[in-house]
Amino acid sequence: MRAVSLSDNHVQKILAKEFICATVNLKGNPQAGLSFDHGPNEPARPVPVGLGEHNNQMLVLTPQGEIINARAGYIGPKELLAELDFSLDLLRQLKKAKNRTDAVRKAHQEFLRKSIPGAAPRVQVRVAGAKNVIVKGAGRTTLDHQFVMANPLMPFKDFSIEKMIGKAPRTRFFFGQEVIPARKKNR
Amino acid sequence: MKCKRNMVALLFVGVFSACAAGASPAPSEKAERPNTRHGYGTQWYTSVGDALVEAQKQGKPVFVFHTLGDLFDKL
Repeated sequence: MRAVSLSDNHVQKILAKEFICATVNLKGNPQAGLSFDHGPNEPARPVPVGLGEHNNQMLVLTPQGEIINARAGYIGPKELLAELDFSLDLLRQLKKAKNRTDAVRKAHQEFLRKSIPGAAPRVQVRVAGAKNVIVKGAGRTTLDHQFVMANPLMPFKDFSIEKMIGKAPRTRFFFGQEVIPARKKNR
Repeated sequence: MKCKRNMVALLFVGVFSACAAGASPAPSEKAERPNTRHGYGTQWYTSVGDALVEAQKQGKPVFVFHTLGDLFDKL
């Protein structure tokens, strides 16, 4: 995300001009997944949309702190720009809307109907032994927008990674002890 | 003569004060905003609460980036 999407000139321009930016370090958050150290200037490897959904989320809030858009995991610069433009457009609609929650739902439905620039095809990964299929690609895009449609204008203080994505993958050991499989220095 | 000297001195002090006031920024502009860092072409609040206060002042939405680790590490 840092090396590709946040380093993109167009993304930086729109963030600087139209948004107030905030960053939250998830280190120590038990709901966060795992990550591997790399610098923003290291060459980026191609990764599917939605990868790292537990350790990377982007939210757009109204000035009153209501969530109007949310994405989890990696998204490329084209898709991020589309999401930022969509969020600004939705914010303009909300100023005129009589029913604000309906306006959020309809806007997200419409967004999903259109083709999403830069979105990778839906990819499903089943981890050996895991019950759930991990959804990446355009499937992650759909899930993220459906989350906002199901929770329109959710106050930021009520947001949690678990509510949006579910629990982070854990390994269960004897005696009921649960451990998050992450490298120690990354936690 | 003495009166003239005093007037010149007062004028000098007045002009100097006005220049000093104009040249130096107001304390709020001079001081760096608390809980912010610069990177990726913009200013980032490290507290969403502070970002929301600024967003309400400017009437802009807030972009919140959750990441595992320091966003500005190795920048």
